Amino acid sequence: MHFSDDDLRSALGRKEPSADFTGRVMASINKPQSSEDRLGAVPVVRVWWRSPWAMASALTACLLLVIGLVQHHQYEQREMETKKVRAQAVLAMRLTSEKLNVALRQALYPRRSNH
Amino acid sequence: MAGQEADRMEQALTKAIQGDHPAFAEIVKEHQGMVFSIAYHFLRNRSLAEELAQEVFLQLYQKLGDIQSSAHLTYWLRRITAHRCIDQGRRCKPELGLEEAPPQSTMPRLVDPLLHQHLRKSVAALPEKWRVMVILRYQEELDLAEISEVLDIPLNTVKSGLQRSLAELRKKLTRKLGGVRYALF
Repeated sequence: MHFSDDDLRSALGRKEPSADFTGRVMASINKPQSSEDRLGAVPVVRVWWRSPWAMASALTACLLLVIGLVQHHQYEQREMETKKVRAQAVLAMRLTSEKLNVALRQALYPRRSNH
Repeated sequence: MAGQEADRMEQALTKAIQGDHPAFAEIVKEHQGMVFSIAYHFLRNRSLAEELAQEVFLQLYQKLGDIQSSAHLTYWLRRITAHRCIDQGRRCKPELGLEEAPPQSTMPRLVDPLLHQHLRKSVAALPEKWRVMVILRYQEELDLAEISEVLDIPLNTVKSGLQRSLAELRKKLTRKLGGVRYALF
């Protein structure tokens, strides 16, 4: 069966879609896409994190977090120092109190010397 | 005139990239025949072809920033349409719509509508990659190197694919229409 290239060109000639095709395309563009269509188009991934405001907010949040952590660390250090000093003071007072008790016992109940 | 047309498209493209919707509508109008026809001759179903064509233009709208010129736009549209057709063809068999009835012949005697109808059907029955090669060759009149670039297929594969497609078409038509030779003069 012979057919020419021209036959194929005529058979496969360009056709136009329906008259409202352009209108439907523009309507789809103006409408936000919610899910994949049935021909399996890839959904639009909005790259929101690339906006300058999003990046500035993220950097500010990171900075605040770091400052917060540093301050918390410093507070913990101070707390530990205070506890140490307190413990030392309590020990010193206990020692002093024991010595005073010994001195008081000696003063109240002196040892009798045998003549 | 062709130069004026190209300039008009370049201007429309520049405006569309800047967000001008009427300019984008102009681009759609200019290229809808090409995109729809590739899809239609591949899928042989008008509504599916329109849906596919619509998706191609939606994708174009999202990717407008990547388009460098009106020539690049044409290349991009053919490429995306061809690849989408192949993907769609792999997912489901083409449905034959109501367009299959031979049209009323208002054509000159040299053109055989029955032959054209059988050619279209036979093309639609080819494997997906061969089918799109034939459409790009005979509808879009691309040369082998251009088809190779659009489809990301080596040149030799395009060459052998087209040869085998034409052989297959001749075999199919001989089976359908018998050994009758159609004289074209």
